[in-house]
Amino acid sequence: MRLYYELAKRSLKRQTAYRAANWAGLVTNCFFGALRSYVFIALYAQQPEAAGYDLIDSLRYTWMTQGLLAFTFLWGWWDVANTIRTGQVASDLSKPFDYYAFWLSQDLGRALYHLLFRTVPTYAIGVLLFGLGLSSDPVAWGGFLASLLCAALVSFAFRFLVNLSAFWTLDARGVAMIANIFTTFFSGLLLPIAFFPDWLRVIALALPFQAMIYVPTAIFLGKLTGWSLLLALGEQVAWFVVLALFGRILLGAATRRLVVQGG
Amino acid sequence: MRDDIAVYLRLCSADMRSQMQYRLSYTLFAGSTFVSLFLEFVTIWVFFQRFPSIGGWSLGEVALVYGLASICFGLAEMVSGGFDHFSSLIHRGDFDRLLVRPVSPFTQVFSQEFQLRRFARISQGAVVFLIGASLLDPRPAWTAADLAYLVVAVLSGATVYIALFIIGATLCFWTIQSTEIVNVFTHGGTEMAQYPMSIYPGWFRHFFIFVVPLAFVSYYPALNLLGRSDDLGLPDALRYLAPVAAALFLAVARVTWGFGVKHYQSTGS
Repeated sequence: MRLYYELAKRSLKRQTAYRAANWAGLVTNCFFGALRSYVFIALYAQQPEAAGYDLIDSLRYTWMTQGLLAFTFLWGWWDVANTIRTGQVASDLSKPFDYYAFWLSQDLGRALYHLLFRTVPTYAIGVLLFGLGLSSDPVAWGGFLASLLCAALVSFAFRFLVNLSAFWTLDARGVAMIANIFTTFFSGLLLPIAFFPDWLRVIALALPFQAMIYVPTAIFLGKLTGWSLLLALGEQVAWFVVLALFGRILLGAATRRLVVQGG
Repeated sequence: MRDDIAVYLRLCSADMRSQMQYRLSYTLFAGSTFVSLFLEFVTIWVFFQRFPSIGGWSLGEVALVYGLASICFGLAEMVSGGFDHFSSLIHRGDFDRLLVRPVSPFTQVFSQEFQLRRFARISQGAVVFLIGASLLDPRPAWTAADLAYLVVAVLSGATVYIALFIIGATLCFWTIQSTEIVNVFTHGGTEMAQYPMSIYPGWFRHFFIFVVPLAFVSYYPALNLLGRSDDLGLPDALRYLAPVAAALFLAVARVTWGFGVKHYQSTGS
């Protein structure tokens, strides 16, 4: 356990080396946050409410999802695929640790960094620019934090699967491009899933992507309370278990046929 | 100048042939880009399921604005891949090689990479534009003059984005790395230009009219095609100024580039 804690800590520290990139990312998140806020302000000028969301809900939603983008790291994580391509994976697999936990702990360390230095500042800037305010309900906060952890786990399990495709294709980018289409649209990043027409919402809620961004954000907004909050958390855990199991099975299959060249 | 164009065309056609060697990867990339961009437009459609308009603009009208922005950005991405990926040239020290060749470095960078796969965004923009035109009520009666205006507007809009790519590349002379901040203006600017300008607050709007003239990419051309007057009350003549704004902005970019080349220090290796 100690090993994985150290791995997570190192990974967090490593992130602090990319300070300029984090600033640039923060500016980008805030620009898109502001842009989408103006769209919502124009939309709500005509009516006070839509799909159970009022203007302030939609603005909070916008800024929280922008803040969570780096935290869930949905786009462009190739660390595992890169080690498969370079052959480094052979050495990693032969070391005396659990390969899955090795990567998971590093990703959780990274996620914590992004939570502190991206999610929090992005939302804080949203509060300053658009007067978003915060929830004062302790249950919503507790649920939100639990849901964030689950979101990080589900997101990792899914990205790990995408990366594993490199064992078969060498270049995971093709699979990743198709995966990106789903994650971007069905995670609720572009707009609240509550806004979707019924048939589209049914599809979105049956997929794991909503567990990465939509669920924690909806809890943060106080849209999921009581039993529905617990149910949503349970669903997140279930998605993590399913995706992680699938990842481990695939990893086993991949290592059995792994051939590393060179020496 | 004419030699530059000949060199550009020659290098681009070679690049295109090489890209078509990887047909499967091209098809996959273009196909998935098309779908993901199309879902972006589905988002706007979803908004219209819940709200009657965006700032007084109907779905068809917004689709027109969106389509124009997407076409212009796609065109610019396609022809100026060299500037888009300029940082790697600086990073590896490869820019030195360009300086000793008998063609201007500007032309050489311009013709580094003709990105055929960007056709996906252009065609997505065109499809959305056509959907928008078919949704308009009453049906627009566009004349040959309107179509000529459309062509000029698209070329001007693409020029504004090309100038942005050039400015972004120029920054790499100092930063060495790619500067993600430029993405705010290119990708962020495209998303901004996909909605009618009138929904944005004053300072934001003025910045994108007078400093980075992205308002000329989609908002003013759409006003003209729709026969609408400016929601912002600015003079109607602005909609004919797209080529002027684009030319001015390109000139600024070209001067900045020249300044950057003059101050270039190789990373060596």
